[in-house]
Amino acid sequence: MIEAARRGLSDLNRYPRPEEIDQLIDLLSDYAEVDGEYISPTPGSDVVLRDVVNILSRDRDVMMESPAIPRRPRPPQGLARRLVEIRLNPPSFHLDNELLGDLPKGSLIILGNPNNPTGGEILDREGAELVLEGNLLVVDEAYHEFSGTTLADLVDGHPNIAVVRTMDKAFGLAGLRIAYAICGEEFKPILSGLRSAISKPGVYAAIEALKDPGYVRVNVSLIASERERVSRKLEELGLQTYPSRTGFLLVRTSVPGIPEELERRGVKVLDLSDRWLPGSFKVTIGTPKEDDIFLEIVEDIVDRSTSDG
Amino acid sequence: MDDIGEGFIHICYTTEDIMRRIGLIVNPIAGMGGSVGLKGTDGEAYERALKLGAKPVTPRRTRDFLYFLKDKDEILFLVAPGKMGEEYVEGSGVKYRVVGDVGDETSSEDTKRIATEMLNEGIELLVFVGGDGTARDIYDVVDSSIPVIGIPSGVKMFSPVFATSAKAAAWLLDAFLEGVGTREEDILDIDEEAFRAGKLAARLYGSMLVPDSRTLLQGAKEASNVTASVEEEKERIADYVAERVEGGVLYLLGPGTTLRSIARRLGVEKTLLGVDAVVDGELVGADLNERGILDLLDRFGRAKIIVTPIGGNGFIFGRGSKQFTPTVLRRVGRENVIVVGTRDKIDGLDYLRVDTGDLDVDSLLCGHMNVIVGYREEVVMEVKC
Repeated sequence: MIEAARRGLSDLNRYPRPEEIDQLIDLLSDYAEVDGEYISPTPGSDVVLRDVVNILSRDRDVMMESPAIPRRPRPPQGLARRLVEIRLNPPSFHLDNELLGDLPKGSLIILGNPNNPTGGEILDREGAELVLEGNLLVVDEAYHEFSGTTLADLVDGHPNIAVVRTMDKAFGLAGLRIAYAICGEEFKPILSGLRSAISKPGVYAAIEALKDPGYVRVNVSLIASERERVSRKLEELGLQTYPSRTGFLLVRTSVPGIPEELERRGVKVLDLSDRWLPGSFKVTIGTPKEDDIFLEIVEDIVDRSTSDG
Repeated sequence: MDDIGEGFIHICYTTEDIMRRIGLIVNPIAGMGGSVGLKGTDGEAYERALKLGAKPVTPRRTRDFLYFLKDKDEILFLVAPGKMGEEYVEGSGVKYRVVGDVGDETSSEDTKRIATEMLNEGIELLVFVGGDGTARDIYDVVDSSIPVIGIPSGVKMFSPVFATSAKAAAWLLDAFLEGVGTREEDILDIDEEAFRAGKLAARLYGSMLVPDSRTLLQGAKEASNVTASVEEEKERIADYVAERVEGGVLYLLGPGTTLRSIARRLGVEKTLLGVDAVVDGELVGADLNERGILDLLDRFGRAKIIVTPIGGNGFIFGRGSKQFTPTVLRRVGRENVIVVGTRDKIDGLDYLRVDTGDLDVDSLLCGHMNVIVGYREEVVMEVKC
């Protein structure tokens, strides 16, 4: 892939050629198992969400789940009728299908599935079908390769759904910002134009990666097993973890100051205490060696906390 | 002294004069009840905590706070003596001076007396380490005269005057020294005896000023397009509510500073802790009890209740504003309840809660409710009963 990206650097005075983009779409179509006519490659998934919100939120209710990381683009002031966040509740964090069925029609609904930072799937097929009755639905499947599930096939028969995926995570191409939308007719005019904004090295690397996506499955499997090891150890130490279908864990504890002490010792986790559940933080799974350092520090903090009373 | 010439006044500044004076009071017994299963150390519980082998938890919180502080050289800490402050700043590298004196056993009277002395010494801001009880003692003396920062180390810190951690408290003080504004935050009165018995009874006790560096705190964590201060947020909530106000309808406003902002937007001044009533921009009742509310419902017919949840536990009815009795809630109806709250309060809650004492009314209120958190911004939350 690195070699492919380098080839893309050889004629930087040129845009990617249309046939190169078409080749990328064909490979994405095979990989995602949906017809190529639904696929729009894009330069990063946040660009998709930003354009969708900016263009489609006029005079609509815009709805998203809360919390959602990274923070989703907000409609410009005065454009949307309302911005409504639907709070996810522990322990399942799953959206209530009855609530989804009762949402006001004509809304633009954007959901991360699995959700970041809870790590769990929040939307099932039944919920998605309820939402699709009279609304526009965007599903961010950034962690699709980890969860192994998708709502992308709903695009066949639903012009009002867009499923957004990235090659940042499981493919390990975050630096090249390659994403793609699997979208119906209502989103196509907005998203199809984004293909020309992808860099040439990005297109080349993505094509190379998609020719043999087997390494992705291996990577994901290694990370998933490491995630479960870290989760078990944290539970042994008395911290609460939630089932994750991503490359990170949501952790909750009554022991104060863990994120701060970790930071002081050079390990960065995302402290969620001051904007969500008290005592909660998100830790991204690293290499076994990195995770061992993290776990040793947590164990030390927990031990000290117990001996301090 | 050099001769500086006739007509000039020579002023001698000491180092202390040009440093920023910040007060620091530590409640040494706060948080001790937690490790031994007590909920708080008010009153006799402290003796029980000691007998059960509880150890102080405040020293580490205080030292963490001092460690993360960036602008140490700028500050002169006026600290309470001994274990109420002095012991933890010694050797920490900050400049300090001890204020007041205390005996072997400290009490809330010591906190109040030393806070008064610090105010007289001209502190700009008071940092306190403790729990809700300490916050109430500080409020009794400081009120809104200067801003405060609470470092959480009690068993229960429901009052939003507390920073989320010792590190966040250090950031807040740095932000204050850099000149950020202040906002009002609530002090809650939690009945510890009831809390130990498994009941959470809370009411609003008052409000104090805290540095408003929300943007700075969030900006350090993630890129955010939220730039409004909490006071601005209250204004935006008030604008949105005012936009939806209907003529001839009775609006019953619960306690809290967010409701006070709404009242001001509607053109009236409301009591901070009471339930007040407004119709068409006119105050038609203040600090109402159940009888007063029912009389107004008879007089005006259609009514809406606007409330904000209690920070930390999320109660909208049944704790805090007891005036909204089951009878009142039945008369007004679930569809006429409007819940409002600033984002930092709402973000810290997992659920909204009700406990009116009437199970039928509780189940009427259960389900999902929208909470207004900004101008045309709402959060759908589950109401637990």
